[in-house]
Amino acid sequence: MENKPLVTCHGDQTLFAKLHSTIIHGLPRETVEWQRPYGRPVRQIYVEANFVPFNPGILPGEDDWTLLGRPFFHIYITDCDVDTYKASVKEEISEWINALKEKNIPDWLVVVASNEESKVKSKILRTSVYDKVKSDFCGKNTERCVVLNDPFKSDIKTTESWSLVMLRMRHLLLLSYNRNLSRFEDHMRNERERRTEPGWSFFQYFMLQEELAFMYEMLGMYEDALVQYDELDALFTQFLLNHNAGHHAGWIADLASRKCLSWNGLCLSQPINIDKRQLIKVNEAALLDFRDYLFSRQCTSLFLQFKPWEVAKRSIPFLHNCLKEIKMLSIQLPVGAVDCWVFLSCLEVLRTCEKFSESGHMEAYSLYTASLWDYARTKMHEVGFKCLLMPGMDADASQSIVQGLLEGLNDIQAPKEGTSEPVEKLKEALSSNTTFYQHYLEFSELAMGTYKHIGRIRSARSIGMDLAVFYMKLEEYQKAEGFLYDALKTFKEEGWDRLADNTRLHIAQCQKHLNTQEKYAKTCLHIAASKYLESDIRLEHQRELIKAGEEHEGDPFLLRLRPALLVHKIAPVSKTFTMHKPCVVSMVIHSSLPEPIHCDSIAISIVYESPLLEHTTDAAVVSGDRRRRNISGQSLKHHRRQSSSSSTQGIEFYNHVSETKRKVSQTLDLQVDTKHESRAVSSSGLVCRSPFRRMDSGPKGFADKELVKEDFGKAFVVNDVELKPGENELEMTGHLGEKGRYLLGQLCVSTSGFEMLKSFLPDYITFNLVCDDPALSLQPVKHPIIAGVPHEVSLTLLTGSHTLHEGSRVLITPADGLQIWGDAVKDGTLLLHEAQEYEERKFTFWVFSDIRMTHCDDENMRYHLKAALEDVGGSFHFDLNVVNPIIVKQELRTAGTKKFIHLVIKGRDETQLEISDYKLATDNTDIELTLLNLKGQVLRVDKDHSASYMWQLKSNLTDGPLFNCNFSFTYKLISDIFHDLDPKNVTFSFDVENYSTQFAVKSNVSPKENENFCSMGNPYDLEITVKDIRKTDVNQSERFMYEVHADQTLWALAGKTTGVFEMNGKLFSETIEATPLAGGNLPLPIVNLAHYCKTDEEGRDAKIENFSSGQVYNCSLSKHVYVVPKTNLSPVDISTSSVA
Amino acid sequence: MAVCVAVIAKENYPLYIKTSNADNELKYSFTVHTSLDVVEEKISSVGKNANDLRELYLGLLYPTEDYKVYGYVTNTKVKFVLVVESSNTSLRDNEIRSMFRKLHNAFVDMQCNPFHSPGEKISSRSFEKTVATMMVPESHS
Repeated sequence: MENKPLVTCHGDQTLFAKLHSTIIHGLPRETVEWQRPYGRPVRQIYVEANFVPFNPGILPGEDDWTLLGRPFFHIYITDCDVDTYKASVKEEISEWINALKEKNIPDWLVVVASNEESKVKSKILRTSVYDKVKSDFCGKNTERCVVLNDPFKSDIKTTESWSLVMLRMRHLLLLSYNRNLSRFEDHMRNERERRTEPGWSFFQYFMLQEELAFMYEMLGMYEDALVQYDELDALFTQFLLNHNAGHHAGWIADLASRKCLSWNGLCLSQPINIDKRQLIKVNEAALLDFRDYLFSRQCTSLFLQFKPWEVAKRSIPFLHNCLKEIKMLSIQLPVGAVDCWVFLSCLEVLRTCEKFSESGHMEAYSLYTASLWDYARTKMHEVGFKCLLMPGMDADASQSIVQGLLEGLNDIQAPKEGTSEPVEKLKEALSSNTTFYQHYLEFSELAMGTYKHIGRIRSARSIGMDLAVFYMKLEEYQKAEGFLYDALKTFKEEGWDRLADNTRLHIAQCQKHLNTQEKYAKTCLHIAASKYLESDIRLEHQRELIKAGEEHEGDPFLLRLRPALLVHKIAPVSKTFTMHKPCVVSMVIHSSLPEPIHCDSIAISIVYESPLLEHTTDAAVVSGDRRRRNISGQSLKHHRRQSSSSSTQGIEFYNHVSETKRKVSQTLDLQVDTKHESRAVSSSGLVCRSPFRRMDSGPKGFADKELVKEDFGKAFVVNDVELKPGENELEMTGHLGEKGRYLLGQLCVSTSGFEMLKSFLPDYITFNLVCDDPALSLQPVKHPIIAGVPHEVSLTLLTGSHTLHEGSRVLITPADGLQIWGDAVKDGTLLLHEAQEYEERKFTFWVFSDIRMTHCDDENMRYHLKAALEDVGGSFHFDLNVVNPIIVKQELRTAGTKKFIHLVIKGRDETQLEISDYKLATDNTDIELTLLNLKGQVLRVDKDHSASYMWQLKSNLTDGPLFNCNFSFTYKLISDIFHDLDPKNVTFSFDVENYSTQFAVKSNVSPKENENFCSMGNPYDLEITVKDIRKTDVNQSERFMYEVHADQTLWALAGKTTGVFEMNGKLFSETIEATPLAGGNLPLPIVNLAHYCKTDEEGRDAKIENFSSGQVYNCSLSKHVYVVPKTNLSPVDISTSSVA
Repeated sequence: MAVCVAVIAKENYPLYIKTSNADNELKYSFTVHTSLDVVEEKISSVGKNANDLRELYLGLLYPTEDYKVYGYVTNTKVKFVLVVESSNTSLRDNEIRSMFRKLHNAFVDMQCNPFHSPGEKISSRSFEKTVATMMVPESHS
C-alpha cells in the first residue's frame, strides 16, 4: 500500500463502502493551495488519503511524534433519518467526538448523506439530521458538518454536493496537516536544541526529521523532502567538522569506533533502504551505512524530481566528503575497502542515471558522468594497486587481500536480468589479473570516451597517460606509445614543455623495448636537450643516443636539429664572394646537450637561387618571388617593384625589403611599390593575405613533415668538430663553380649514425658569388691610326677573377689588310705569363694598314679584330679606325672642244708621301689619254703640298659615252723612323662621261662706240650667244633656256635675264641690258644653259635639265670687262678745325 | 592557502608555475593542464552572450580527493589557477577570490614593466614575492 495520509472513517460502514471509491478518487481530482505557516512558499498539492475504519486504539497520543501512519483526519458518515439519529446515531457521534477530544484531536468531519425520502421527511418535521448534528456537535464550527445530497444519483445537484464535500474535506485535511506539522516542527526544534546534551544522538534526531521528509514525500513535495535531507546532511557534516575541531560528542565517538562491515556502495534501486534505516534506527549504522542511506534518499528525491544530472553532479562532492569524514574519524577499514566503496558508488550512480536519463539530458549530465567514470577508473586503479592485481605484482599474494575485501561485499541484492550489478563486476574484476585488466581497460576507455565526448581533451589525455603506463607494465609498448604520442601532441601544441619532456621519457622507454631505433634516437635527442629533466637522465639519454647511432648500420638516421642544437647566428662572412676563392660562413650554434658531442662533419647545403643581377633590379624581385613559391609552396607574393635603372643600390634595397619581410609574421606580407622612373618608394604597407584562417581545422603546424636531406653536392663544410654544451663558434668553407646568387639551404650535423638537419630556406640567407670575366682592351698609342704608317697599339688584359697559367695564349685574328707584328705577338698569338686575379697586363704591338681607296675621297677605313683568351674562354672584338693620309680629287676640264682629266692628290696631315709611277688608263679603245705632266715626275704630298696631274682626253666619239678610268700611283712614306718601308701601289677607278662639248656660250659687254671703256652706272648691252657645235643632226623643236646670274653688287641686269629659246640654225643670240655698278675689271655675268624639256604637248609644263659640265663650254667664263669708275666730284672737306 | 599557483597564457601555454613543494611541480603541471578543460568550458559558456559582464573568477574548477582547483580568467584571457588542499577546510570562497585579486594585481604590475615583453615566461621578483605570500607547505606529499 502506498504511503498516504490516513483518514479514519466511522459511522455507517456499508454506506461508506459504497461511497469509498468516489471519495478516494474525488479527493486528488483538483489541486488545493496549501497556505503554510512561517512564510513558507505556497504549494499546490493534490490531497490523497487512505481510509481506515475508526478505532480509538489508533489515535495518536500527545507525545506520539510519528507522522507516517498517523491518522490526520476523522470522518463520521451517516444517512440515517431523524428518528434513527435520535435513537442511536447521536449517541455514537458523541462517543466518537469524545474519543477524539480525549486525544486533543480537532480534525473531524460529519458527513450526512441525504436522499429524497429523508428530504421529504425533514420538510415535514421542519428539521433534518444535518441541522441536528450541527446544533448538537459543531457549535461554532459549522464547517465540521457537511451534507451530501443523493450521493448515488448523477444529476447536477449531486455533483455540486459532492464537490462541496470534497472541498470541505481537502480544506480540513490541510488544516490538520498544518496543525500537526507545526507541532512536529516545534518538537523537532526542541530536540535539535538539545544536541549538546550528553546522550543526545544525531541518529535519533535524524529519524525524527526524516519523518518530516517522508511526510513531504508522501504529499508529493519532493523538493521539501530534499530540503530536509540536505539540512540533515549539512548538520551531520558540521557535527563532524566540529568534532574534528575539538567539540567532541559521544555519539560521534560511537560512530568512529563502530566497525564498518559493508562497503557495497550506494544502492539506488530502492526508494528506501529499509535495512540501513533499521541500522540507523537502532544506532548501529557505520559511517558508510549512514552516508549511503542519506545520499540514496537525496537521490530518490532528485529522481522523483526528474533531475538525474543533479544526482551525477552531487555524487563526486559526496564521495569526496565521505572520504574526508572517514579520515577525520579515523575509521579503520580493510585495505582498499574505501576504494571499493567509491568505485561501486560511482557505478551505481552511473547505472541509475542511465536508467533515468533520456537522450535529451545526455549533454547536461555527461559533464558530470565523465568525471564519475574517471573517478571510478582511478579508484579501480587504486584497488588494483592495493590488491596487487596490477601487472608485475604478485598475484598470489593478492588473494588474501581480495578475500578481506570480499567480506564487505557479501550483502548483494539478487541481480536483475540483463544488468550486471556493480558488485558483481567488482568481484569479477578482483577474481584474477586478467579480468581485472579487462575491466580496468574498459573503464578507462569509457572515461576517456566520455571526456572526449564533452570536449575535455586534456582530461582524456591524462587518462591516456595512465593507460600508457598501465600498458607499459603489461609490456604492450606499442599501445602505450600510441597513447603517449597523443598526449605528447597535445602538450606540444600548447607549449607545455615540461609535460612533453616527461611524456618523452615514457616514450623513450617504449621505443627502447620496441627497438624502433630511429624514433628512439629522436626521443633521446629531445630528452637529452630538455630544459626540465634531471641532468643525469639527460646524460644517460645522450649516451643512449650515441650508442644507438653507433650500433646503427645503413643510412644514417635523420633527426631534427632543433631540440638539441640551436643556430643563434649564421651569416656568410661577406655578402659577396669571388670565384675561385673559398666562401666562408660563420655560425654560432648553441648546444643544449649535457655533454660535448663529436661531429664528423657539419655542412650547410647551398642552393642556387638566381643569376646575378647586373642590370635590373626587376630581376631581383622576380627571382625573389620565385624563391618564395618554390620553397614554401605559397602563392606568388605580389611584390611589385619596378625599377629600370641598374644599380647595386637597387639590389641592396631589395635585400633590405626581403629582410624586413622576414621579420613580419607569416600571415602578413610587406609590399613596396616603387615608381618606375625614379626608383623612389611610392607606397609601402603590410598586406594580410589570409586573415581568417581557422586554426583548429586542417593540418596543424605540428604535423611532422618528413625530414629529407637535401643535396649537399654544394656545401659549406667543416669536419671533425666537437660541439660543447653552450655556444660554439664555427667557420665553414665551401667552393662554388658558378657565379650567381645563392641561398643557404640546409644544415646537416653528422655524427656517427645520425644526421641532424635544419633548413635555412625560410630565413632566406643569401650571398652572391661573383666572377669578373677577364677583359681585353685595345688602344692605339697615338691617335689617329694613319694608313700607310706603322702604328703602335697597346693591348691591356685584366684577369678579373681568373688566374692565368704560364703559357696561356691570346689568339688575335686580324682583319684583311691589317698587318700585326711585335715582340709579344707571333703569328697572331700572344703568349702570356702566369697571372693572378685582378692583375693587369699590358702589351704593345704594331699595326699597319695600306692606303686603300675605292673612291676619290675615301677618308677612313675600319678594321675588325678578334681576340680570344684561350684558357678562360673569352672572345673579344675590337674595331680599329684607320685614316687615309691623302685624298684624291678628279675633275673633267674643257677648253673649247678639247677635254682634260685633272687629278689632284692632296695630303691631309703631317704624313709625307712621295708619289711616283702615276698612270691613268682606260680599257676603252676609242679614248686616248695623253699625259701632260712630265714623265717620271716624283711629287711630294703632305698637308701643304699636293700633286696635280693632267691628261688630255681625245675621242672620236661624238656624244661622249661613259668610260672607266683607272688611276694608279706608287707612294713611299718619307719618314725618319720608317725608312725601310717598301713603296706601295694604290689604284682606284672612276668614271667619265659627257665629255664632248655640245654648246659654246659666249657673252660679252662691250663699250659703246664713242667710248674706250665701259663706265660705271651706264647701261650696256650684254650680248649672249649660244652656238651649237654638235656634229650630229639637230632636232629643230629642241628648246633651251638661258639664265643670267650676276653678282648684284657688280651688275644690275635688266631685260630678259632668263629666256627660253629654240635654236634656229646653229646660233642663238640675245641681248639684255647690264649696268656695271662698280669700277675695275669686272667678271662678266654668268650665263647658264639648260635643256628646256616639254613634258606635255602644249608645253605648259616644262622641266629644266641642266647640262653636265663637259657639255657646255662657256667661252667667256673668265672674261673681265674693264669699267671706268665714275668720277667723284664731291669735294672732300679737309680742314684743320674739323680734325681738332 | 595554495599549494600551487599557475599563470597560463591566452594560448594556453604556461607562463608561470609555482608549487610549494618543488618535487611536485610535474604532478601539479598535469593538474593545471587538465584544469584548462574546465576553464575553457566555463569561458565558452559565458562567452555566448557577449553583453554579459564576465565574472573573472571562475570558481571551483574541479575537486579531487586531495585538493581543489580554482580558476580565474583576466579580460585578456590569461588564466590563473590555484590548487588548494582539500584538507584545508577553513578556506572560504571569499578568500580564494581575494587571492586571485592579489595575483591579478601583481600580474598587472608586472605587465606594466616596460622591460617585460608580454607572452614571455614570468620571472619577475615582485610577482614571485606576491605568490610566495599565498603558498603554504603541503600537509602531505
